[in-house]
Amino acid sequence: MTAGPKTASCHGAPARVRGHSRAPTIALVGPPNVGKTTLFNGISGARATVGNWPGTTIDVDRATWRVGGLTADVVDLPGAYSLDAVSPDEQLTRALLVDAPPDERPSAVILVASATRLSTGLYLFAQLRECGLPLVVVLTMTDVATRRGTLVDVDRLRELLGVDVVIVNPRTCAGIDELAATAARVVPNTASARPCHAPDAEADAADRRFEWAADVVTAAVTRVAEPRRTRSDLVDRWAMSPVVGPVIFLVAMWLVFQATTTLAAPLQRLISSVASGPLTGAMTALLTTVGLGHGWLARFVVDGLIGGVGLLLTFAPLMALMFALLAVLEDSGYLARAAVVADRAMRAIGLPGQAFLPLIIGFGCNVPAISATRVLADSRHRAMTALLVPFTSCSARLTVYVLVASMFFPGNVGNAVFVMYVVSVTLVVVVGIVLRHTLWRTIGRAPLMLELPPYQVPHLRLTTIATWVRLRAFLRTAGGIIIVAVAAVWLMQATPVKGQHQFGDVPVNDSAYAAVAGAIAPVFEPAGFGDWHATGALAVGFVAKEAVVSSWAQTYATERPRDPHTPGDLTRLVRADFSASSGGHQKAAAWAFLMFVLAYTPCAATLAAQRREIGWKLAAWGVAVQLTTAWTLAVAVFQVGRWFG
Amino acid sequence: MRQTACGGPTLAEISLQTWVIVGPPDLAASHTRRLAELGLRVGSRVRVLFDAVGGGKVIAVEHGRVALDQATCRRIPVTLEPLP
Repeated sequence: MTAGPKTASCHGAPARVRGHSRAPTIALVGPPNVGKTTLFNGISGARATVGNWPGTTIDVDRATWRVGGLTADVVDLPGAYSLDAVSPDEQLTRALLVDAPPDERPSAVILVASATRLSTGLYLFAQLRECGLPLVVVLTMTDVATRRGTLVDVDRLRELLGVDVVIVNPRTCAGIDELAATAARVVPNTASARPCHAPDAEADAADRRFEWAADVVTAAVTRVAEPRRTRSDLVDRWAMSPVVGPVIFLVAMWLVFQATTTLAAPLQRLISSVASGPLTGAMTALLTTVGLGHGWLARFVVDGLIGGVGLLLTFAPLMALMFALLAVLEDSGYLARAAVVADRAMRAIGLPGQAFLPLIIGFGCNVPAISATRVLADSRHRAMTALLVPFTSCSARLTVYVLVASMFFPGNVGNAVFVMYVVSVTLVVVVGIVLRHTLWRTIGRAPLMLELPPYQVPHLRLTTIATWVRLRAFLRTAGGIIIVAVAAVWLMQATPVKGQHQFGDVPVNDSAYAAVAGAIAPVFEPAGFGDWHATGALAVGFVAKEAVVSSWAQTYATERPRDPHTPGDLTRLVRADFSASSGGHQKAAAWAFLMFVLAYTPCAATLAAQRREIGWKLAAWGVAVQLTTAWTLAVAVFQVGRWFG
Repeated sequence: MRQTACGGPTLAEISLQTWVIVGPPDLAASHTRRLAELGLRVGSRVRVLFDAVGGGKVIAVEHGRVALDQATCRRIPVTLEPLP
C-alpha cells in the first residue's frame, strides 16, 4: 500500500479528488480532530502528519487502499464541520465533494464522527446525504465517550441513518478490518461519475438538520451519567487559567529546548568525531590511493561534502529530539490549549487565537506553516499571519543557534537557544503590532471559537512516525541543499579574482567567494560581524538556513586545510574573526549575528510559499521587512551589548 | 452584570459550573452557524467550566469542550436552567 502525493491545495492545482486511474476513490470526511488522518494512515500505511488539534490537515493526502478484492484510492480531506465552508481548507473539502465536475468527485465517502460529539458529525452527515454520495459512517472515540458516561447504540444509529456504521479506534487500528469489509460492499467496483446535489443553503434547512441531528442523538445515545469534570478539565483549569496558563506554556517550551540541547549533546559529539576523524581519514586515504589526494577534488570532497554534510549530521539527534517532543505536545492535545492561551497576545496584533497554530508549526518549518494559514477564514488575517511566520524560528535556524552558542557560550547553550525563541515570539508580536497600525489598520476581529480535544497519552507509534517523517524530510531537504550549496560555494572559492592563480588552486582570500562576501561585509560592521566569512555564510543562508553552518565550515576548511575539521579549531577561528570585527566585543557580535539569523528571510522555499498564498507583492514586501528588522535588531543588540562586554 | 438588549445575562457573566440554555447570538450569520456546528445553538444546554486567559470561557457542550473569547461570550445571551 502506498502513499501518494498531495493532490490538491486551495491555491495550487485545480481541486480534484479522483486519480487518473479507473480505481474508485473513497474520501475521508469529518469534523476536525476526530481521527481522520490517523485512520488514513492506519488503512493505507501512509505517513501523513497527524495532530491532536483542529486544522492539522490543510491539503489532500492520497494513498492506495486494498478493500477486499478491490483497490481503491483513499483521500484524506481537511476537517470540516459542514459543507457551508468558512475557511479555505473547508472550501477545499466542499470543492472536492460538491463543486467538482461529476467525474472528479469521489465514488464514496467515509464520514468519520466522534462518539463524544455525535451531533457535530451528524449535521455534516445530513448534508452529505443530500448530496447523494454513497456513505459509510465511522464512529471514533467510543472508549472516551463510554468513560464519560455516554453509550451509543450502534444498531439503532445504523437504522436511523440508513447506512453502515462501524466503530473504529484509529490509534490502535481496531475495527479497520470490519471497515474494509463494509467499504467493499458499499464502494462501486470502478470509478463512475456520481450525482451530487449541493445541499440546501437556506437557514431553515440548517435548522431542520440540527433538529434532525438532535433527534437522532436522543434516540441512539444513552447517557448513564451526567457529564462531569474530566481529567482534561482538571488539567485545563490550570493550563488555560489567566495567570498560570502563560507560565505553563513558557515552562513547557523552555523544557523542550533545554532537554533537546542537553540530551543531544553527547550524540552530537560522537557523530562529529566520526565525521572529522575516521570518515575524513578514510576518504583522504582513498583519494590518495587513486592519486587525487591533494587536488581540487580532494578539497571539494573532504573539506566540502564530508565537512558540510558531517556537520549537518551532528544536528540529526538534536532535531530528532525536538521533533519528538513537539510531536508529544501535539498528540497530547496541549497545542489547542496553547492557542487559547495565546489568544490575548494574538488579539493585540489583530489576529484570532487560531492564527497561533500556523505560527506554532512555523517553529518546525516555515513552509507548511504558511500553507496552514488556510485555516483562517479572513483573507487579511491569512496575509498578516503569512508575513509573521518567517519570524518564527524554524528548526533549520536552530542549527546555527546551537553552533554559535556552543562557540561563544559553551556553558549556556540551552539558555541561549531559549532566549532566541523568546525573542522570536517577541518579534512576532512587535512586527504584528506595527503591521496592524500601518498596513492593516481596519483589520476586523475574528472570534475565537475553538473545539478543545480531550487530552490523551501520546502514542509511541504515532510519536515515532511523526518524528521520523519530519527528521527524514529535514535530512533530505538539508542534504540536497547542502550538496548544491557546497558545490556553489566551492565553485566560487575555486574561481580566482585576484593574483595569478589557476582555477581550483586559489587562496580563498583571492577567490570570487571572498570578493562577493567582502563586498557585503561593510553593511554589517555596525553589527560587529563585518567579516567576510560570516557574511558569506549569511548570503548562502538566504537560500536555506541549513546551508549556513556547512558553508561557514567549508570556508574555514578551505582557508586553512590543515586544521579544518575539529570543532575546537573552527571555534577558535570563528572567535578570532568575531573578535577582530567587533573590536574585542565578540560575545555582543555573536548575539547580533544570532539576531540577524533569526529575523532575516528564512529560505527560498518560504518565499515561494508566501508567493503562492499571498502573492508576489506582499511576499517581496515581507522580505524587505525581514531584512530591515534583522539588520536593525542586530545593530541595536551589538551597540547595546558591547557596553556589557 | 452586563446584559443583552433584551435584558438577560450573557455567557460572559455566568458563574462557573452553572448550566444555562443558549439564546440567539448577536453575531454575524457565519459565526452563529459555526457556533451551532460546535453545539452552541439556540436552545442547547451547556455549562460554563472555567475562565480562560483574556476573559474567555471554556464551555462544556455535550462531552466536548469549546473555548470562546470574551467578546463572543458577551454576544451570546443565555437563560439560567431552572432548578429541578
